[in-house]
Amino acid sequence: MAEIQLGAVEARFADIIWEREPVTSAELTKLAAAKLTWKRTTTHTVLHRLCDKGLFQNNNGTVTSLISRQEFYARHSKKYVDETFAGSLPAFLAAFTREKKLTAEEITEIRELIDKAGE
Amino acid sequence: MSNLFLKILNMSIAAGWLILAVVLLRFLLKKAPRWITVFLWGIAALRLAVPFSFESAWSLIPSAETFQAHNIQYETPAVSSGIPAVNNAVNPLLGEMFAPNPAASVSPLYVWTFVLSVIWLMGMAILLLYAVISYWQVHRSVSEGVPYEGNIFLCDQVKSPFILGLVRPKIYLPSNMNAVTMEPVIAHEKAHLARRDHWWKPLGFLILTVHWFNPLCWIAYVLLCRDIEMACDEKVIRQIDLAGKKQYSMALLECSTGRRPVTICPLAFGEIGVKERVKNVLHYKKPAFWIIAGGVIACLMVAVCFATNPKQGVPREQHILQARITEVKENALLVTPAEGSLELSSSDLFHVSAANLPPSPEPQVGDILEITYDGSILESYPAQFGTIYSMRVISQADSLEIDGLRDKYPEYFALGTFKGLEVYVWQMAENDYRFGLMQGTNREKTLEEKMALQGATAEEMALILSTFDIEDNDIFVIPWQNPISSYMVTEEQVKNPEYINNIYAMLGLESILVEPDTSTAAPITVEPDTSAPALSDEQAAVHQAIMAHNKSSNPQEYDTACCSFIALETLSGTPLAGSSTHKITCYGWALYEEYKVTDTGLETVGGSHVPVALSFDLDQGGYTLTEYWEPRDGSYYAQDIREKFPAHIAEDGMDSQKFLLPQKQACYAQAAAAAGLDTNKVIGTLIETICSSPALSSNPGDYIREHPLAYRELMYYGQYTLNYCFARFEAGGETGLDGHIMMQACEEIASGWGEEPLVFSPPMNEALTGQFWYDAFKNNALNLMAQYTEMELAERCPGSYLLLRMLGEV
Repeated sequence: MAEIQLGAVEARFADIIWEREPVTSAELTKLAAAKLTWKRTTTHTVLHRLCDKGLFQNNNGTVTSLISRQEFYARHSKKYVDETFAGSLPAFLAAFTREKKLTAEEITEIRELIDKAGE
Repeated sequence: MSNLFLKILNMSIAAGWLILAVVLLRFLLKKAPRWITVFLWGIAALRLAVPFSFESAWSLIPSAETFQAHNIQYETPAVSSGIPAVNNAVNPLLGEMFAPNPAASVSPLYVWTFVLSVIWLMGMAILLLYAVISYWQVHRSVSEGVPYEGNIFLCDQVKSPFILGLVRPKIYLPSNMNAVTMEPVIAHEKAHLARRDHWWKPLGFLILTVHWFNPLCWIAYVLLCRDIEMACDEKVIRQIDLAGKKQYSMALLECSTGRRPVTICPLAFGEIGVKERVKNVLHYKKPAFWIIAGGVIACLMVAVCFATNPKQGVPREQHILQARITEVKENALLVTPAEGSLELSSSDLFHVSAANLPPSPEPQVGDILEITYDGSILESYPAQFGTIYSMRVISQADSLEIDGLRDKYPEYFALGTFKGLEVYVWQMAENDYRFGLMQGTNREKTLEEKMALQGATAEEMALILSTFDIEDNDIFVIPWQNPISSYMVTEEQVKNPEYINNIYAMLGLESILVEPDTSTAAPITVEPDTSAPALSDEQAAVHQAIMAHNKSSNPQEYDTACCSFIALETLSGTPLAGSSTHKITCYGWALYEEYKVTDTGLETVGGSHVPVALSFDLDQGGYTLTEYWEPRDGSYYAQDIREKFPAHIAEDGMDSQKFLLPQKQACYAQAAAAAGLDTNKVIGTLIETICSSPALSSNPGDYIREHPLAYRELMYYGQYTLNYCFARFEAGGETGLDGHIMMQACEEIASGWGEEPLVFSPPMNEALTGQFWYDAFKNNALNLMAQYTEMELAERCPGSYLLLRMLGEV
C-alpha cells in the first residue's frame, strides 16, 4: 500500500473519527467545530480527502474507518510531511522567512556560524 | 485619464529621486537600527501615494513636473525634467518625432500618452488580480488551521510561519514545527504585529501596483521587505542572550530550508539571504545613542531634500517679453521676440498656445504680444516657454497708422463719447469731402467752431472713429456748408438720403436714416394751404399711432376724431448688424380731439393734450409702433418727462400752452376737411354771436370778452378764419363791429403764427376800422413780396402770405 501521508492537523481530525466511530457526518461536523474551530465546509473537505486517501469511508452519512489507528501508525511513518499547497506565499504577507532553496553547503556554513557564535 | 497617468508618472519620477537617496543612505546606515530605514521607506511611500507635497528651497529634486500636460497636448511636445542636459537631448527628438500635425486636432504624443496610460491601467489590473487571487488561495488553505494558542494557529499546508488578516490578524505556523523553533518564531511574528507590519507590507504592495512601471519602486519594495524583517529580528534579539540568539538562528535556518524548489514569486529575486540575517542576529550589538541620533537626523535631511518639491511658486521668476506675431495657427501662435530681448538669443521663433490669450481682440499677424512667463525656455524648434503666466496684445498691427493720426489731429482723440460724436462733413470740391469731429452735446455748434475744425480725409476719419469705443448709431453725421469752400452743396442734395448714406459708407459706418435736427423747438408752421397738409411717412405713422391709442371707448359719441403732433425732437438709430430696422423715437406734444359736427361748427366731446414719446421700428415694411409713452399723472408728471425726454426739450415737454393753439388749429382743419364743414358759415355764425352782445358797448373788446368761447373758436379755425375775414375785407366796406372783431382775430391769428404785428399809422381823422387795418395789411403784404422770396414770406409772415396766395399774387 502506498504511503498515506497525514499532516499533524489532519491527524488530529483522524483521531476524532477513530475515537468516535462510527459517527454521523453531522456529529462529526459539530465535534470538529468544537475541537478545531472548523466550519462545516472545511470538515467535509478534509473528510472527503481522507476518504480519497483510503483511510475512512462515508456511507450514507455515517463515517467509519477503513484502517484502524494502530494499523495506520504501525505502517506509516510518524513523520509528518508538509503538504503542497497551490501557489507560494504572497509577497505582501508578513512572514518569518521566505522559502528559499539552500544548498547543503550553505546549510553547513550557517550551522557553523551559529555554533561558533560567541566564542 | 491620461492626465491622471501623467500625474502619477511625474510623482513616480519625483519619488524616484527620493528612493535613490534612501538606497544610498541605507547603505551608509548599516549600523543604525533598521527601523530608521523602514521609516525612510515610509516617506518614499508617502511621496508615491500623495499627489501634492510641500515646496521648499532645500529640495534637491530637479523637477516635480517632468511631463506637463499642456506641453503634451497642445504644443510641440517637450519635457521639463529640470536637468538641462536631459531636456536638450530629449526635446529636439520629441519635436521631430511628434511635431503636432496642424490638420489633426491633437498631437501624436497625446495619442501615445493615451495608449501608455491604458497599458498602465492594464498592468495595475493584472497586479491587483494577482494579489487578490493569491490572498484568496492562502485564505482557503488556512481554513484547515487549528487553534494553538490565542491568535496562533497550526496548519498542515503552511511551510513557513506568516500572518494573515488586517483587522484581526492571526499567526499561522506549520503544524510540523518543533517546540524549540516555535518560541523564536512566535516572538518574531508577534514583533511584526506590534510594528503593524501586517498593514505596511500590503500597503506598500498597493503603491507598487500603481507605480509598477518604475523599476526603482520595485527595488524600494524589496528593500522595504528586507528591512522590515530585520527590524523585527532586532526587536526580538534586543532582549535575549547568546543562547537565545543561537536558538533564533537555528529557527531561521530551519524555516528556510525548503524541500521543494521555490515557485515563482515575483519578489523572490535578491531576497535577503538567511546567512546575512543569521550573521546580523549573532553579531547584534545595541547601537550607540549617537548612531541612532545620526540616523534620525539623516532621515530628516532626506525628507526635506527629497520629499519636498522644488520651489516654483508664482512668481518664482517673472520674465516679461514683447514678441511680434508672425503666424496665426488654429490654437497657437508663432512669435518672434522683439529686438534686443534676451529671449532672442535662445531662439528667434517661439511656439505659443493661444489658449492663454483672451478671445478678443483676435490676434493678427503683426500684433505685438506681451508675454509673462517663468523664465524657462524649452529647447525645441520652434522653442517654447516653460510656463506662461499671462499674455496680452499690447498693440495692434495697424497702430502705426493711428499713431500718425494722433500726431496730426490730437484734438480728435481727446473727445468724450458720453453724448455721442458729431462728424461734420463739408465738400471742398465735387469729390473732395472733408471731415471734422466734435464731441456730442445738446447744442448746435457755432459757425466758428465748425470752421475751426481740421479737415481730415474720409480714410483718416474712418480710422479715427474706429479707435473710439462707441456704437455707430451714436455717431451723428452733420453736413454743413463751409464758407471757405467754393463748392456749394444745396439743401436738396444734403437732404437726399443717398448723399448721407454715401458719407456713412465713406466712414465705414452703418448707413442710417437721417432726420433733420430739430433741437430748437420751433413749432410746426401751420400750412397756409387749405387742403390737408401732405404728411410724410413718419408723420403719418405718428398720427396713426396717436389715433389708435386714443380711440375712444364710445365711438358713437363723436363724428370725427383728429390729432395733431408737434415734434420737439426725433431721434433715430442705426440698424443693428444684420438687420435693416431703424429705431426711431419721436418726442412731442400729441393733441387728440373728438368732435361732434353741428350746424354751429365743431363741438369738442373728448380728447387729450399730452406730451408723448413714440418709438417705432422702421424697415422695408414701414413704421411699426413699438412704444407709446405718456407721463404719469400728478407728481410723477414732471419727473417722468424729465427722465424720458432728452434734456434740451424737457422744458418744452411741460409747456402745454406753447403749442396748444397751433395744434388745435391743425385738428380743426382736419375735422373741417373730413366733415366737409362749411367753415364760412360757421365762422360767420361765430362772428354774429360775438357781435350780438352786449350790444350797448362800443368797445369791441367787451364783445369779445362777452363771448370768449366763440372768439376762441375763431382762433381755432385759424386759416379758415383768415380766409373768411380776408374775403370779406376784400369785398370791402367792413367798417362796423364785425370788422373790428375780424381785425382782432386776424391779428391774433397771424401773430400766433409768428408774424410781426402790423405797424401802421392809424387814420387821422377817423376811427380805426377793420377795413382800414386790412388795407394797410394788404399793402404791407404786397410790399413784403418785393423784399422776400416766397419761402421767406411763408416763414416770416404766414398771415400775409396766406393773403397773397388768396389774392393770387404768389
